[in-house]
Parts: sequence; structure tokens; C-alpha cells
Amino acid sequence: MAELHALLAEFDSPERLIDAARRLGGQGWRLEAFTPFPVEGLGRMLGFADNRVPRAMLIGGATGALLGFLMQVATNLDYPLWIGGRPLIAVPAFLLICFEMLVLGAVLAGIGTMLIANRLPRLHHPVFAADRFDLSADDRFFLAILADAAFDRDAAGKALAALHPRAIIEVPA
Amino acid sequence: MRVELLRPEARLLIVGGLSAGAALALCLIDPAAALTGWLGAAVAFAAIPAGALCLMAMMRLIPGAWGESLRLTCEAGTLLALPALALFLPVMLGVRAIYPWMAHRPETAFQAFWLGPWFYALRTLLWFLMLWGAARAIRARRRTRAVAAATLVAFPLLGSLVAIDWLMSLDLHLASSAFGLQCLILSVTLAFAGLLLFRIGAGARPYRVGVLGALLLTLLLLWAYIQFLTFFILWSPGLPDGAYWYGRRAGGWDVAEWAFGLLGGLPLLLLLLAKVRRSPRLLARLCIAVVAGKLIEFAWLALPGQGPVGLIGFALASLGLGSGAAAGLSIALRRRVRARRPT
Repeated sequence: MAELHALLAEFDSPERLIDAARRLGGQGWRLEAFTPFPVEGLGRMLGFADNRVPRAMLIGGATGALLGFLMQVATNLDYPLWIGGRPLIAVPAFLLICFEMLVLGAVLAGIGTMLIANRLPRLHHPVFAADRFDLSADDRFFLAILADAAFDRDAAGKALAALHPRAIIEVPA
Repeated sequence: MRVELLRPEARLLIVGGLSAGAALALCLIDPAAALTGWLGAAVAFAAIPAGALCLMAMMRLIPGAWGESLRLTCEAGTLLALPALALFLPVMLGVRAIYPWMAHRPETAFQAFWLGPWFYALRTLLWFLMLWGAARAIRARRRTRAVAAATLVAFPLLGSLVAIDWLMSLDLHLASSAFGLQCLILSVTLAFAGLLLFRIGAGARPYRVGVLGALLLTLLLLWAYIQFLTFFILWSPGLPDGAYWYGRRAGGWDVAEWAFGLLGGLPLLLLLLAKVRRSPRLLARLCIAVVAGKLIEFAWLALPGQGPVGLIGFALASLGLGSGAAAGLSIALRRRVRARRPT
């Protein structure tokens, strides 16, 4: 038998998918889901608890703001222009640029981390080869048990069958 | 209409009545300072029904988890509109003592037309009637969508008018188009922090409290943005009128600026942590800090130049009206619970 990437179960409504994810959640499987639109609460059911993106945005934002501030300080010291009797390092005037750099730093760090964490860009993925998977962009909701070292095809198949999906589909690796 | 009083409410009302009475008694010493202090506290009290109505209108138009756990508390908050109007009676009667435009000749034809005791009272009345009428319609679930949309359109317009009347016209030289927004964001933040504090203190753990923490963070960000922007716009050209307005707040008022900056800024930074946003106990503490900061900020807007009597008057009036607000919210919430209970 060929190596498997995952075993898919097909459902016809988000509620049934959520219910299935809830029932498999505590059983130690590595789960993944594919839906045509974001389904509220699904991430929690799959045990998704990755906060790399918010953390990266905090660090990126702070770095951006600091660099923006230092850039203006350096520019003003290097090329002093005395305006309106204000000090050379006029903090209120610097804050707008700092804010913009904060947003830029946070957004770049957030998008970059999101891409890396999702291993994107990626042109091909094993699930694309599975039968009927194109319906996941239309009106079908898929729950996958991913194959890992301890993966048992029969046990996974039974666990999915107990959820009464419309179909169970093998995804070759 | 019978009003039942629980014992803590009665105590709060007695404490509130005594301190409010003491604040008004300061008029015997220095009416201008005492009434300006009262004005500051009354504007802060008026923030509760205004902020509650604004939140309630947004709940109708932007439904979601955030509205469900605060709806009844906001409905109770809007019931304070008429008491807030009553608290403005001393201000309307004391317009002559409080406002420079009654003592000096107005500087422009527009000021002469716009600023006068009757017109001032009319605009204040109009504001509270808007709060009262719109809140009544939304509470009764009557054409709520249209009323909520109209409220949110009228809110910044009328709110700017009364903010300019109540606080900006204390200084005849300042002309800041953002002053109304500054006061409104202060008011809504004060109201939200106060209502959330009351909600956490009075009831069971709110549903999805993290969303409410995130909303407090949003309001504080908006506040920091508007408060800095108004300063920045006046600081940038450094023209005399704007500089004078901030200059009057130099000296001892520096302490107030540090205090409200930290009391708003530290909660803002702490709320970035999801753990803080999700803990009702920590949120309640942050709400206390935010309410204290906003009260200091209203004092900072109203009181410079009034001396110690103004400060004492503001402190006494805030204590009095704050106790009154707590008791009033509690009574109003019971009425709302009874009104919404299925029969």
C-alpha cells in the first residue's frame, strides 16, 4: 500500500465539521481542516494555539518605531536645521514618522511570519491530488487526520467512519 | 413610579448628596471656582448616558459578542440622562460666574450671537433631549436600526457643540475643531470603563470578556491618538492662542498631565497582553485606573486658573456625583432587568 499523507472525511455543513472536530479533538490525532470559507471556532476545535504572528508583530512594531526614531535623530544631528526655536531633537514632531514605521514594521513582520509559518509560497500540496478535494472551494467541508510516525490507517479510518461523513478519501503522500 | 432602594444604594446616595452639597456650598467662598469645579464633574457625569447611548447604538448596528454582555448595563446607563441634565442646573444658573464671555465683551460677531445664557441652556437641553429620546426608542426596541443610525450621525455633531459650549468656551481664544472629538472620546472611554467596572462588579462573569478588554484597548488607542493629535496640531505652528491654552496648564498641572498620561497609557500597554484582557479581575482594576485618569483629564480641561477652591470643589463634586452614578446605575439596572424579564 502506498504511503499516505492523510485521510480525509467529507462533510456537507460547517456544523457537522465542527462537531466532528470536537469529537476527534481529544483523541490524540493530528487534525487539519479545509473549508470554503472561515468557520468560526474551528481553530479552537483543532487545538490551534500558535501565537507566532502576534508576537512577531509586537517585536516588528517596536523595532520599526525605534528605528524610525533613531533615523530622525541621526538625520537631525547630521544636518541640523533650527526651526521655530524648537530643540533639534523635537520629539512631538518625530512621533508621526515613528507611528508610520511602527505600522510598517508590524505589518511586514506579521505577513512575513505568516508566510513562513504556513510554508508559503508553495505551489503544490498532496491534498490537491485527492479526489473531490476541489469541492473544498465550493460547498464541502473536509476534516483530515494527518499521517505521522504512529499513524494507523485502519484506526484512523474507523475513527472517521464513526462520524458518518459523506465520503472518506485517501490522500497519497 | 416607585423607586426601591437597597441599603448600599441608600448609603451611596447619602454620601453623594452630602459631598455634592459641600461642593455647592463652596460657592459661598468663591462662586466662579466652585461652579467651574462643579461643571467639570457634571460633564464627567454626563459622559455616562452619552457614552452608554453611543455604545448601545453601535451594538444595534454592529451586532456581536461584545454587545451581548453589556447591553443591559448600557441601557441602565442611558437612564441617567435626565439626572445628568438636572446636574447642569447649577451650571446654567451660574453661567455668569463661570464663563469669561459673560464678563468680557465677546471678540467677534459670531461669539456675540452664539454665546449667551439662553442659547447655551438651549443647546445643553437639546443634547440631553437627544440622549433621552434616542435611548428611550432603542430601549423600547422601536425602529432601533433607524434610530441607532441617526444617533451615531447626530452624536459627534451635537456632542461637539456642547463640548465647545461647556469646556472650550472657558477660554475665548482657543479655536480647535478637534475639541469636540477630544471630549467625546474622553466621554465614551470614561463611560465604557465605568460601565464595564460596574458590570464586572455587579454581575456574573461577562460572556467572552476578552472582547470587552479589546474594546477598552481600542478606546484607549483612539484617546491617545486624538489627545496627541490635538496637541501636535497646536504645537506645530506654535501660534500664541494655542500655546497660551497649553501654557495655562503648565506649572502644577504638569502633575495632572503625568497622572492622566500614565493612568491611560499603562492600561493601554497592559491590555496588549491577552491574559490581561481575559481576566475580569485585572480588567476591573484597569477600569478604575482609566476612570481616575479621565476624571483628572476633565479637571485639567476645566479647572486651570481657578485655584484650590476649584480643585476642592471638583474633588467633592466628583465624589458626590460618582457615588450618585454608582447608586443610579444600580437602581436603573434593576429597572431594566425587570423590564426585560420574560413574563
